[in-house]
Amino acid sequence: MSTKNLEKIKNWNDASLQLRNWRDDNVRMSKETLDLWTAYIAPSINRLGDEKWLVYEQVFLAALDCQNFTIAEDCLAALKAQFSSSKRVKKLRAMRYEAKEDYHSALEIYESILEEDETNAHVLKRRLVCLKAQNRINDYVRELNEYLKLFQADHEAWLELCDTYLNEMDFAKAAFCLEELILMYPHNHVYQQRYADIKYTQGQFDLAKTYYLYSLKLNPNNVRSLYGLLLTTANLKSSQKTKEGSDNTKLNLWAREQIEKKYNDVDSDKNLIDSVNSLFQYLTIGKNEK
Amino acid sequence: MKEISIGKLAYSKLFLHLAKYPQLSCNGILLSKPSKNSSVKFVDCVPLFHSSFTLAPAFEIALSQIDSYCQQNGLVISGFYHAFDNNNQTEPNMMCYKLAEKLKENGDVSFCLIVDNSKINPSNREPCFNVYSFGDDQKLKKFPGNLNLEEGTYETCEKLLEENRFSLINDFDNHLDDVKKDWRNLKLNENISAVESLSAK
Repeated sequence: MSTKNLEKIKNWNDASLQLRNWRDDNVRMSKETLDLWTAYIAPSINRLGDEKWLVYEQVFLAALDCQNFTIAEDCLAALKAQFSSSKRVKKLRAMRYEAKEDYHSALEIYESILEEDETNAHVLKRRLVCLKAQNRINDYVRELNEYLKLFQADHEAWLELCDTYLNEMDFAKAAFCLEELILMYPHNHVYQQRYADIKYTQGQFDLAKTYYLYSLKLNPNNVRSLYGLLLTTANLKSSQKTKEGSDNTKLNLWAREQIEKKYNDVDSDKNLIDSVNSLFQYLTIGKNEK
Repeated sequence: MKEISIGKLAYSKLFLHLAKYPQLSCNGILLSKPSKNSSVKFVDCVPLFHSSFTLAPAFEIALSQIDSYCQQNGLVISGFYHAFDNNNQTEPNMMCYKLAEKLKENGDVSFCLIVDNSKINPSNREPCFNVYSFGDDQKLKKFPGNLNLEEGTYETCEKLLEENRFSLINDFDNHLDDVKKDWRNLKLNENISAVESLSAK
């Protein structure tokens, strides 16, 4: 158990605290979770009190991720014994089928849960994921759109839809998803920057520049936005001969200075700085350009 | 061209990138020394992204910096690898095609290595990818020739996996999130060489 993440774990208390942190932050550290389970938690699970049911669920999901069905069965058995009529445990049973790629059985269980509770978001999403896992992308996109009509505030789902559209290179629809997210979270610099990335990819440099600037206003340390500003102002230079042109020059130079500062602050070696400088030469607006 | 080969360093870094992000798609660029005869040997690789592969800005920045790195080290960009998050997808898609086309515009050769998820574990003793090449006919076709791996490659990967070294590799996405993380992975290169010399004993 020598991953960087687990070097600090010395005892049972550390382990259970780490698991709690991962649960709260919803991170996917499946291998590390199983390592902690086997080394510290499993031998004395009852010390956790009522928290143990959450840990069983967490370890069950990690075990499915790592295809360790022995641990998964143990956890599921404990949960079934305690919560025999729980829909949440039923969902876990279905996820075990998913892990074995038996989508037919998984979907049967999901349908039966939805019959009793048709707005169970967790289960609706599991049903969607079965489509994605089978690479039925068109169906997946259609159903995800239907889901979002019901759950318009589910930002995770909007992000997922955006990513799916990006993979299919449908930039217009991906941009639409990010517009929804920006409306919901106008102060999130990442959404502004990603929207700008999409606009840049579509060749809409003006709009991209605007959104990179919004993003930098919210977080001047966003390196992707700094690079984005550099790229957009460089691409715009030749199409403008007015005050906007000179504004572009100033922004270009500012972006360059900020990026240089970042690399210098972390003591990057000469070769890396040379690589970055050669990029600047290519993307700098010359003083003679008007 | 009858055969291509891939060095230990390039293969190991590719492998570590996949091991670091098992639930996500990954891709990266492959570098080789320019050669007078028509064989290609991938000697190094630069892991690029584990998300949003089709967005232009990060990609342009990456390629430009990698170009400069190549000039500093006498290398050329000769291909890329892509691993899909979906277990069962083994053929290149439109995104791969566009990337292969772009590399061909800027270089002599353009290879596309698509990772086969069932073959990643080095204990299989098989290369974990299938090779496609982008020809003058503008088509991406399976490469019919031989693929050679440097001796000791699988053993090195096994050792790296055992020692959980995959958290050490940095891709371009990591670099853009924190410029301190070196996408050239120079320290890791040294680590890998150290493993190689141990397994040679």
